[in-house]
Amino acid sequence: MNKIDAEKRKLPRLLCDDNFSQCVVIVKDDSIPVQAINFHRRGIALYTPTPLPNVKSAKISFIYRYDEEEIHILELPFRFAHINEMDVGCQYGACFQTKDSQQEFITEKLIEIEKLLKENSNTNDRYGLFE
Amino acid sequence: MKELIKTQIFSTELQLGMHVIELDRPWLETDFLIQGFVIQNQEEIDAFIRQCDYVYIEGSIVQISKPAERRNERKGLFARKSNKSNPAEANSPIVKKPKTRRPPTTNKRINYINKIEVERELPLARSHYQSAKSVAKDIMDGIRLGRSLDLNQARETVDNIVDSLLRNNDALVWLTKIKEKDEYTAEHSLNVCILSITFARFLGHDESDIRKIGLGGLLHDVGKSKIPLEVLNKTGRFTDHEFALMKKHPELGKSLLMGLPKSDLSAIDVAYSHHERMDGKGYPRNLTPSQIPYFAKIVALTDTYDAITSNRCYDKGRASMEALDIIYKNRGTQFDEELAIAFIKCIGIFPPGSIVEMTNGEVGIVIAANNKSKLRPKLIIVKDNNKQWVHQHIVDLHLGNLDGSQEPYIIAHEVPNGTYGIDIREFVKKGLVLK
Repeated sequence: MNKIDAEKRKLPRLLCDDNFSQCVVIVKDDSIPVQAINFHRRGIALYTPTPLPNVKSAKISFIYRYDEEEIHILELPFRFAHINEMDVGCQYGACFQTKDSQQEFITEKLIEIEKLLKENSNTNDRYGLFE
Repeated sequence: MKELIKTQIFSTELQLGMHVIELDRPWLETDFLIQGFVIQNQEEIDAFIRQCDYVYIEGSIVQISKPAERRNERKGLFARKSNKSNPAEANSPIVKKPKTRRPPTTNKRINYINKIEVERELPLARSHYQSAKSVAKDIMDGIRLGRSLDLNQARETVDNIVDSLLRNNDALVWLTKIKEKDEYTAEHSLNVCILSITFARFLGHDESDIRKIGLGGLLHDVGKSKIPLEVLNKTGRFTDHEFALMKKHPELGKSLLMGLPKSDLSAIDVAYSHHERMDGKGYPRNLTPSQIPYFAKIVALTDTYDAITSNRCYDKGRASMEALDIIYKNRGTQFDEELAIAFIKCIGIFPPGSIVEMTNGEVGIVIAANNKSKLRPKLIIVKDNNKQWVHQHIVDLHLGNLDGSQEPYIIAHEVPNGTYGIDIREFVKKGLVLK
């Protein structure tokens, strides 16, 4: 396992809570609604009932709400790290490409979302069903 | 002429003769064909209770019949008179449909216990798994070659699996974790069968229902035997045409099963409806929640869980947690909410066969779930914190076993099979014997 993989494994995948909204994948002029499943600062797992267009990379936008404020992630480029299109639904792993982004502070926003998600999540009982 | 007084009441307070004029939701979102009517029978009251929390009634009650006559009507209803022979019911403003099935209630659910240890059941389970896998493969290959499906053979296979899972519910679940990428379709059918039986056992269904659910699981994708192999086993992404072709398998499965001389109605239901969704956006029929057969709702969950965690010819399967995340996030939209929550409770965060990394860096394999505390399973530690093989030892998290630093073992997270060079197939081959 290389250093980057090992580092990524240490980042827990945090279950996206109801504060995520308006998550869309942008391919050319199309905005396709997708469901945010889990998240960390480097990427996000997405799910849709039907396949996304066949492209290697695209852009993603979503809003994360907390208290009275909102963090807007707009048209952030990503590459598909994982694609699993099944008859039950389609699962995508999106790896954020922050270096390509014109927004220098995008990484700070992503870390802030990760921090807020971590504060709201129960690491032992992910779905709050067992304790 | 009467003055209209609108009164809000709970649906549970409705009585015969009350004139319902408004609901707590638009009439169009309900099964009622007429927007406002006088309640004529108990079924209409039940329909309101099922679909609305409260309703608005006109202030006065219209007496529709004498109490004695009402009692007779009820007797008639319970005598199961057909709608055609009862004009009043035939003209009822609600669409008649069977009541939606739910999991058994607390007083009706059967609590199963493991009769033997997982280590003892595993050799037998492994033998059943191998023969069941070849039956599942024969079913799919046979149909491709034009042979008829042998339903008795399928039932016999399901019976063996049910018997094993009733003795111990962990051993076969262990085996569903071993995924051969080249045998996906047959292996998936068998795994869905095993997981559906495990879930039905967890819900407390009786043995007859468990066997029906198991058969539905085994045959749920039988329609895929009519999909060309080059599409089914395609390594790249599907084109729109190929995806549309894949989505035909529920209808193909229904036709196949209906063509059998002594078919099984619940298996037909499952094959036809396991891709329907609670939000009405499923396929092939866009059914509403109350129209989706209960057993199909169960198999929709086990099908999704196994599809996500399985190896394919083009990719490795994902960890159990990723599948549970998707099920949790889609509860109430894709999946029945109550069943989705129950399924997560059944599987637990760390099901048997999961490879887990501990907070101290050691790595273990879950060998048995603890039914009283799903977060604290029993496991075998196989690697130390430097990821080197160690003399294996069993740790029971429920008993609070301590590590070398006298700290309690805690699971940090699950990792996919193959991580750190750990292949659970090797452990199953050895029959969970410590080395």
